[in-house]
Amino acid sequence: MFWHSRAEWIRTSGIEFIIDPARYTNGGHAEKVIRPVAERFSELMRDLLYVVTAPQTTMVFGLASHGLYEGEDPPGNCLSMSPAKDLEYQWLQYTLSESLGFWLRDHGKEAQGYQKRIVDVMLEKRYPQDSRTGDIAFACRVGLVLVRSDGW
Amino acid sequence: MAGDLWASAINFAPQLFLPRALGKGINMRTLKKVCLNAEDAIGQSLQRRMNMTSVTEIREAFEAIFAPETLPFLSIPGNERLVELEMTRHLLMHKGGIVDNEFRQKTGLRDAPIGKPLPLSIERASQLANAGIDQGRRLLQFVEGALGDTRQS
Repeated sequence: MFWHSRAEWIRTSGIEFIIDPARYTNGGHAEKVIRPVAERFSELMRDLLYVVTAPQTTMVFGLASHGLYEGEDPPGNCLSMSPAKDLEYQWLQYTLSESLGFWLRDHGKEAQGYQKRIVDVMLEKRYPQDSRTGDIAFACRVGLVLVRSDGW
Repeated sequence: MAGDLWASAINFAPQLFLPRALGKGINMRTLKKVCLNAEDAIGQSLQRRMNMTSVTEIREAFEAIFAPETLPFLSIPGNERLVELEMTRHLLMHKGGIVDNEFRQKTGLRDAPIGKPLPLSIERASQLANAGIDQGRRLLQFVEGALGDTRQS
């Protein structure tokens, strides 16, 4: 499917997203202090790469979920805190309608699987009370810009 | 990750790092408030009061508790790609992805089309992601070494 080949392309174009936590096994402070941080960072990087390479529908859903998670905005309008609210909202609406059309046309079943994963990431509070949900929302947008820029 | 690491370093050796942090982003009033809140580790409580959303802020936070000369890898210039990553994030998250003068000036990307959506290729996205990952890796290694030194001294 289209996003599988796209994901493969990104993987082979230089992202070194793994920080090996196994490096920090020598006991003492490296294992107690550094390793947990390295593990969380590594996991976050994997999630971000996953999101960047996910289908458009998932990215848009991720943005909407970000809004829901923050509890500040209704679904689909997660960007109201932005000074460029109108502009961003137009962009979101455009990508949402485009993505949903694409999804409904061809990829319903597989896209549902991807959506479930992003729900796991966004809503099961793996990244509570810090900026990481924002990182994932950023990855959603990077994915959408890539889609828009190169026509995938 | 930077904030996570900063907080972990404070928790590891509060007797060493707390006095250093005082007066450099953290004041005594904040510290007293944090100490009254027994539910949180002190590092995480202080971290929430520090801004670490830009390269400069991350550098300042780490300089507050470690010797500045030991942090050459977070200096600007020398990390233009990291600044580009930061500015790209800002543009996509807060400006609808539309290039403006501030973006052009801070990144030095003179070809970026003002008033138009920022174009982004897979290769460019990979380079920017790697810049962030590389700095994260170096920061981890630096703190690992610095905490080892505190144990020995």
